[in-house]
Amino acid sequence: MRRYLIILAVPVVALVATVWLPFVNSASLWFGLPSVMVWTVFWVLAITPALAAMEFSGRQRAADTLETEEGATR
Amino acid sequence: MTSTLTVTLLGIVFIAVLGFLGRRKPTGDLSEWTHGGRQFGAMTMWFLQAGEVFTTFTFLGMAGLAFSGGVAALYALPYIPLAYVGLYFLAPIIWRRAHKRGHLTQADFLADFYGSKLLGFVAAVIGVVFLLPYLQLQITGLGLAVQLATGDQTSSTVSMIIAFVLVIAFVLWSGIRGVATTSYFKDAIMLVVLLVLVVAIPAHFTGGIGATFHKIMLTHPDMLHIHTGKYDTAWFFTSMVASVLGVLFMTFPHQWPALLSAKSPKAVRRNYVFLPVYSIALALPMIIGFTALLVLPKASKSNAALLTLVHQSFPGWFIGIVVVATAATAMVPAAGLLIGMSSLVARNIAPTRSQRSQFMVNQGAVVAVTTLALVMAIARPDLLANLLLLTYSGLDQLIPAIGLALLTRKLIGVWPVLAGLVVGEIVVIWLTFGNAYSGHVNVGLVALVPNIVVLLAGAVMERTVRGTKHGSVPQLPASNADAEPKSVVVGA
Repeated sequence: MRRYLIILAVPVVALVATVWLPFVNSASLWFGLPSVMVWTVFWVLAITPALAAMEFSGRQRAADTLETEEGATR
Repeated sequence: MTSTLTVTLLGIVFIAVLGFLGRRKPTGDLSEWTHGGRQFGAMTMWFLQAGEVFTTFTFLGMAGLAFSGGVAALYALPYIPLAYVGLYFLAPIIWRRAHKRGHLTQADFLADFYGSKLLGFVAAVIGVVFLLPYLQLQITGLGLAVQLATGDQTSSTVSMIIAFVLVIAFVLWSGIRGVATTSYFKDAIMLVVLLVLVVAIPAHFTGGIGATFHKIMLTHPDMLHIHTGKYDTAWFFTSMVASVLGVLFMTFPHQWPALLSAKSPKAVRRNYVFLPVYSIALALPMIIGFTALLVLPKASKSNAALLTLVHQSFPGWFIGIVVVATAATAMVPAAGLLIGMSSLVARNIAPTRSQRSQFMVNQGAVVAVTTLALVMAIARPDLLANLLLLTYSGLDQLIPAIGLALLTRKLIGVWPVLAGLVVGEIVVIWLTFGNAYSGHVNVGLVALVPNIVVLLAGAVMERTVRGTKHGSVPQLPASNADAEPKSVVVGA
């Protein structure tokens, strides 16, 4: 779980820090687009695999199975 | 009648027909009407929650913000995905508790946790009052789109009336299921139209997206980074943080029906895994806003930037399709807002004893709230526009109350929470309308400071007077927690 949380923290920190990073927050273009835009879109996209890693780990599946079984026995 | 107006009106009627088709069976049950029997899987949840993300603000406002503030507009792109990261963990907690305790609204959740109908009432009133201008924003957005496309104020007013009478009708008829069926269409047409526009508009005016930004680099380099001025670093960072916290703590009452309609915590979590991918579509209207920066006079109305460029570069029938997409981004979120607001009225502001009368109050509230917003949008558009300034900051003041209610034990009682909330709201109103503040730090965050200080001071006083710790307050009773939903009467 801790490993997944660390992975998840990377895009979160990157996005929160956007405005404070001089190499990002500058009048420059990356791949023909504003650097702030490319940086933001990249890290927003990175959230999905980071969350997916946690969601599809065995831990969440086990928790779901346990909850389904508890619901069935109730 | 022009081809633009014909396509627009046909599109509006088509959206409403989809809304009517959403109904599965006749219902007089508010839970079924509000949450669709809590049976929605991750796919339907996706569209319902995406419906909250993409409103007329997305379509018109993001292009406008990029036109006036450049990349500072990008604060709006990461805040929802960042909130989803937190909601991945918090939303299943809310869903489980609401499911077990039979909560239908945000105010139910608060009233039940703190054992106070008064807090539920206050939270519901705040929710309805602050969402009303947001509802009006959807109506005026649709009117603006029609007016810009047709150049005719009468067509704009008639379109607003037709569209929102139809919204009332399909919301009354189908409830949240109508919102779900219209959401599919809304997201499809909006994405297709945005993709066409983001390719065609820069190509038409500047030679392409790459050429647009190279020209911006030469002529408006300040628009490519966040710098001093109105949209400075403090504005960008605090706007983003305030928005993240607002969404993360579910301060918008219309977030609740979409969440509580999920069939399982797994559906809730899966939705938050994949929704961030969809959020990047917010960047598309921004690119159009940058193109407008090179084409339109600086004094142009920012919210009209996208539609002005569309008007200058497309034939009438396609302009009609763009207006239909705009209408969808107005009508569908408005339907979601109505469900959130009317259920607050029926459950927490004017509660009644029987299910039938509760449902009737709810249906009456749908008609009354929409009529009020529609009349204001036509007659006094500025009145509610001013109130819109309070919406985000005002709802942010619910963060401490909801945050504490997510705990399993009641650490602080209702009175400190209520006092903090009231003080926070007063400070927001004072800072917004009292000319008392000229800083760029988000007003909602500023007001959270006295809110939390009062809350903590109240908690200390509470413990001093009672001589006991609030930690001794029992957890939600396990027996009731296992009871069937709908049986719980909230409040003490």
